[in-house]
Amino acid sequence: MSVLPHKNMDEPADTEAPLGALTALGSSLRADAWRRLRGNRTAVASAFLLLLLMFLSVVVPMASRFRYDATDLALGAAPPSLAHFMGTDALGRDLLVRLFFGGRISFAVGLIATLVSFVIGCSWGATAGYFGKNVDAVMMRIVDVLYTFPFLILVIVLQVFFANQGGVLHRSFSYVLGPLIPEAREPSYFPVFQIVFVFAALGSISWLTMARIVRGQVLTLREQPFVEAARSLGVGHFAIIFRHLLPNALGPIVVYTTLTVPEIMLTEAFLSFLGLGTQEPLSSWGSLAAAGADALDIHPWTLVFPAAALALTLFAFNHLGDGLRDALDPRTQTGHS
Amino acid sequence: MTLLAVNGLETTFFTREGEVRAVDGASFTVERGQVLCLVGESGSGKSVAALSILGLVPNPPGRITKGSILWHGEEDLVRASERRLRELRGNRIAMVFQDPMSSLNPYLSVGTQLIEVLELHRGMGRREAEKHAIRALGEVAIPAPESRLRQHPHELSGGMRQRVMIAIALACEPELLIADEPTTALDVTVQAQILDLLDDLRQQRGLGVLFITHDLGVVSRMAERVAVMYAGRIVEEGHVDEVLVRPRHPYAEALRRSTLRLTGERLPKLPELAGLPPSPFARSAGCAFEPRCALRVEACRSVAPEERGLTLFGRSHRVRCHVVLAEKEGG
Amino acid sequence: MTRFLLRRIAWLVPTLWVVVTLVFFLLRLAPGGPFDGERAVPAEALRALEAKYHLADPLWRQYVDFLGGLLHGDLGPCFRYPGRTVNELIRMSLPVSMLLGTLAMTLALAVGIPLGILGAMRHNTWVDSAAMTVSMLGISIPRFVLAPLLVLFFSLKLYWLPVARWESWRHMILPVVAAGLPAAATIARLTRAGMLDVLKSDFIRTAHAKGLSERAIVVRHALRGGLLPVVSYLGPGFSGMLVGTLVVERIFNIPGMGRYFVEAASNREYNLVMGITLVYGGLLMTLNTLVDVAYAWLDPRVRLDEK
Repeated sequence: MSVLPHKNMDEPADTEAPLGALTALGSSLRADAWRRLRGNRTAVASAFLLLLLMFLSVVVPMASRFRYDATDLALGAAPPSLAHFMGTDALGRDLLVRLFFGGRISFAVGLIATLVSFVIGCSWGATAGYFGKNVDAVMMRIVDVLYTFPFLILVIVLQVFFANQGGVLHRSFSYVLGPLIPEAREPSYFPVFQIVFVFAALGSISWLTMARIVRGQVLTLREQPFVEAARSLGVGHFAIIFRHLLPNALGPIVVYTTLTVPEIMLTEAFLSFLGLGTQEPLSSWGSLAAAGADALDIHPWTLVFPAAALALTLFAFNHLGDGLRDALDPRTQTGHS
Repeated sequence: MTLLAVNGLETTFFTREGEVRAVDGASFTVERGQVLCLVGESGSGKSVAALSILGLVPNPPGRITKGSILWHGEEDLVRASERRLRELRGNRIAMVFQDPMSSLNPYLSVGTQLIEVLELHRGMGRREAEKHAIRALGEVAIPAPESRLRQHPHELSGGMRQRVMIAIALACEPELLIADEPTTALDVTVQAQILDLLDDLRQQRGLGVLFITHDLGVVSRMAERVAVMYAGRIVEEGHVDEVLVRPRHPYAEALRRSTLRLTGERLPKLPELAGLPPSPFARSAGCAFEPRCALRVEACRSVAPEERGLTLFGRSHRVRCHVVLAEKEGG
Repeated sequence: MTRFLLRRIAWLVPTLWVVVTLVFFLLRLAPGGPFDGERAVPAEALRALEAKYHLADPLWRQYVDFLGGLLHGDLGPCFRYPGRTVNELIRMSLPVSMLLGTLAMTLALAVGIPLGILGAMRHNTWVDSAAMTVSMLGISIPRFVLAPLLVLFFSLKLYWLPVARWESWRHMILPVVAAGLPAAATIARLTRAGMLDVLKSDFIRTAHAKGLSERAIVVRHALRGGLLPVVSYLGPGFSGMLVGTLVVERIFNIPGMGRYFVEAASNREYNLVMGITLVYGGLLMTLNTLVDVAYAWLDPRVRLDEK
C-alpha cells in the first residue's frame, strides 16, 4: 500500500513493450525537436539567410566581371553605382566581389576553426569526464592554464614563426601541395597559408570552453545505467566515449557549436583589425570592416556593407543557436507546469 | 463551518496545440478541522485545482474560465484581486508542495525563508520573527531548531526539508492547508511521521486540510472525506468509508482494486482497468471514463453524466455515472 | 575559504611559470629579432646592442637571467624605448587600462543585468523581444565598428564629446561605452536566460504561495540563482574585456597597455611581451579566483574547499 498503484494507473497495461517504446520515444524526441525548430520562424529565417550568404559567397566572385584584387586607381573610392553595386574601395576594387570573396574566407574560418574546436574539445572533455579522478584533474588543470595563456601572443608568435616567406608553414605547404598545384610554390599563395594558420590558431584556442561543457555533460551521463551496461558487455573505453556518451550529450554540444561559429568570426575580424588576420589583397568581412572603419567619414559605404554582412551573419548564427537550444530543451520554452 | 467551497471550477490552458481543460467543472468543500482528500492519477487535474484556489495557475497559458471558489462562504477568490490573494496566500491559506528537494529555495537559509512570511504577514521585526521561527520549527518536531535557521536546504534530509516546508506553511497559523502530495517523494517511515504531524496539527488547531494524493493508503489514514478525480472531473465524492470500501463509480472501484491487488488479497476475477486516460485535447461529449469502463452503456458515449447527490448512512455522497444512478433510481 | 585562497595562490605561481616559460621560448624560437626592422642596423652596432642586452648569450642563460630578474621584480629594459624599463612602462600604462576595463565592466553589468531581468519578467512580450534584439545587435557588432560609429555621431556630428585621448571624464565616455556595450549585451542575454530558468523552478512557485509580491520574488528569490550564469561568464568575460580594451585603446589613442601589446610581440620586444604576459596572466587568474569566491557566495551548495 504505497505509491505503487500510481505507477499501475499511469502506465499502459501492456508491460511487454518498454524497450520498443523507449527507442520510439528517443526518435520521437528528436523528431519533436526538429518540428519545434521548424516552427521557430526566426531560426528558420536565420538558417535560410546563412545558406543564401554562403551561396552568394561561392557564386558572386565566379560570376562577376571584376576580380577581387583588380584595382582601378583612376576610379578610386566610388560610391555605389550601377557598375559597382556596393561601390569601390580606395584602390578602386569592386566592393561587391570583395565582400563575397571575403564571405568565403569568413565562413571558412568560422566553420573550420569551429570544427577544430569541436573535435579537440569533445575528445578532451569526454576523456576527462569519463575517466574522472586524476586524469580529469590533470586535463582540466591544463585547460585552466591555457585559459590564462594570452592567446593573442600565441597567435602573433605563431604567425611570425610559421608564416614568414620561406617559413616553416610556407615551406611545408609548398612541399605538400607543390606536386598537385604548381602555383602553391608561388609567393602569391602565401596569404592563403596565413589564413590556414588563422584557422588553426583560432580553433586551438576555442576548444577550451567546449571541453568544459562536454566534460560536465559526460560527468553526469557516465553515472547512468546504460554506461554500466555497456561496460559489463565488454565495450571498450573508446567506444563507450564516442559511441555511447557523446551522442547523448549532443544537445548542448550542438548549441554551443552553433554559437562558436559567430564568436570565431568575430575574433577573426578582430585579428584582421589588428593586422594579424586576413592579409591584403585577400579579404574577409572583418578585414573589410576594419578597413572601412578607418575611412568611415569619407567613404561610409566601405564600412556599411561589410559590417552589415558580418553583423547579419553573427545575428543569424546566434538566433539559430537560440532556436536550437529551445528546440532541443523544451524546458526553456514557456512552461505549462 | 465551511472554509472553502469550490463550485463548478473550470481551469483551461490555452496552448499552441489547442485548449486543455485541466479542471472541468469540479466542486468540493473543505470544512474547518476536516481533511478532504483529492485522489486521482497524474494529469487528472488535482494539482491544477489546488493551484487554482490560490490563483497560482501560470497565466499564460492557464486561466480559470468558469466557476467560483468561495472563501468562508462569501468571498469569491476567482474574482479577488491579486493583492487580496497575496494577503491570503501563506497567511490564511497555505500550501505545501510535493517535492521538498526543489520547493525550498536552495540559495537562501532556512531561517530567511521562514522569517520572510512572518515579516510579510505578521509585520514582525527581525528579532521577533526569529524567535517565532524557532518555535515554528520546534512544532514540526525539528531537533535543535536554533541551529537549523542558519542551515541551507541542501544540508537537510528530505524529511527535514518537508518539515521545514510545513513549518513555513503553518507559521502564520492558516485556516486552510493545501498539501499537494506532500509525502510522495519521501520514504515510508518519514511519510508516516509527516502524516502524524499533519493530523496532530489539524486536531490542535482545527486546521482544514485539502490533501492531494494518489496513494489510497495515505487516504485511508488521513481523510474524512474523499473526492475522486478523473479527467478534470470529480466522479465520486463522499465519506472515506464509503468511497474506499464500497466505491460506486466504476473508476473509483478500479482504483480500489489496483490497490488491493498489491496487498495480495484475492479477488474474484473482474475485467481490469485497461487503456489510458483520455487525451486532454480530445475530450468526448460523453463520460470521460467511457472508453475504459466495463459498465458502459449507450448514453455514456454521448451525454456527460450529471453529478447526483445521494445520502448514504446519513452522509452526503455524490457520483457522476449514468449506470450507477440508473441502478439507484431503478432499485 | 582561507584554504581555498591559499591553494589558489599556491597554484598561481606554477601556472604563471608555465605560461611565461612557454611564451619565452616561443618568442625566442620565432625567426627574427628585436633589431631587424625598417632599416638594416650595421653589423657592428647590432653586435653591440646584442651584447648590451645579452641577446647573444645561449638561450638557457637568457632564460636563467630572465627568471633571476623576475625574482627581484625586474622585467628588464625595453629595446625600442631606450632608457625605459619594462617596469616603468607597465606602471604607467596598466592603471589606464585597468580604469578603462573596470569602468566598461561596471557599465556592462549596470546595463546588462536590468535589461536581462526586464526581458525575463516580460517574457514573450514586445519588451522582451525589443531588449533581446538590441542585445543581439550588441553582440553582433564588433567593437572596432561600434567605436568609429560612436565617434562619428557624438564627436564629429554633434560635437558633444572629444574624438580621442584620455584626459578628463568626458574623454572616457565614448571608450567606456564602446568597450562596455558588447559585454552588456552578452550579460543581458545571460541574465535573461538565467532568470527564466530560475523563475520556472518549484521554489518560485513556493514563494508565490507564500504571498510574496512579484518584486520580492524577483529580488529575493530569483536574482541569486539567475545571476549565476553571469558570474561564471565573468571569468572569460574579463579576458574578453582585455581584448576589447585593446581595440578601444587603439581607436581612441589611449595610453594603456593594449597599445604596446601587439607592437611588442610583432617587434620581438621580448622583455615587454614577457611583462605584459605576466600582468595579464596574473590579473586573469586573480579575477577568476574572485569569480569562484563570488559564485560560492551566491550558491551555498558550492563548496570551495572541495575539488
